[in-house]
Amino acid sequence: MTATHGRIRLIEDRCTSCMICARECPVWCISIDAHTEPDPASEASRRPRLHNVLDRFAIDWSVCMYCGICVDECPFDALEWNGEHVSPGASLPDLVHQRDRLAPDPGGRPTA
Amino acid sequence: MSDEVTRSVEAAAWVAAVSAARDEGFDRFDWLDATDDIGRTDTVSVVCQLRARDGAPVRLRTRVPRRGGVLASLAGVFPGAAWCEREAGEGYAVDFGGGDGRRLLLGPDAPEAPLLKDHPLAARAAVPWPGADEPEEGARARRRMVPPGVPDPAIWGERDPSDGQADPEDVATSTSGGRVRRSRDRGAGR
Repeated sequence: MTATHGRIRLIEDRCTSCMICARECPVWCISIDAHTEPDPASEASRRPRLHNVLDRFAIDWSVCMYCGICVDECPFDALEWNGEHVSPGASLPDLVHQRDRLAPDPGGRPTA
Repeated sequence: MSDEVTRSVEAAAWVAAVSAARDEGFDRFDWLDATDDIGRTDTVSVVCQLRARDGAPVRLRTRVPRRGGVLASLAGVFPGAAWCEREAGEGYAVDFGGGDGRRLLLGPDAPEAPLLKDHPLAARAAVPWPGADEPEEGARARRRMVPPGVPDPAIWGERDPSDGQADPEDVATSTSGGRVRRSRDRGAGR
């Protein structure tokens, strides 16, 4: 997708917390916390499968260089260009956007 | 590109080979750069790409020693090569004899040859890497991961001084990122 290299949107339903974006990021601006839960679909089987559940996903825009490597590398297309620029913040912590701002779905979740 | 041609050249014949390629019609200097061959051979490869008028490129590659390598400058053949040679010379400690020896990018107190792969990125090693976590209970990984550019602590940093100098191959592997070799494996290898 060709778009303005500005904000990046997180599509939470697609994210598997695989860490590839965080590991490929040249400036280390993505941080992810996740935990594992048994997969309800496999509860009947003898060994229930585990899947990752995302707890925290944050991008520090004060460090991001908008290269888009995370967008390109994500195997599940969970990151995409938002088409907008990052709004300024009054302090550096304001530029660390959590899930509520990266994935602003209707009835957005509170920040972790 | 399928029509890409790379010619391996002896360092002594470097200028002659580039001149010959120019006379063949590859008369546009495209770029010159170097790569560190650590872990494979104890050399730095210097690569120069030339283009013909119809756009076809040819690459010439030569190898010089990793430390104290000397290669004749191409500035007499392509004056524009001097700029690239200043960059490559600074980054990889190659002395382009007869070229422009002035520093281009690095300050006077910069480390020698920061682009050689055994030059660790100390500023990175001091910062926790967000990619080190595994997605399990928010815990640190069982398999430790290291980021590219920061060597495995067993190679650089926490290395036992009695182990002596790290093997160049280990250095090259550890600076490319990925899993840290477990100390148990290292012990078994001895």
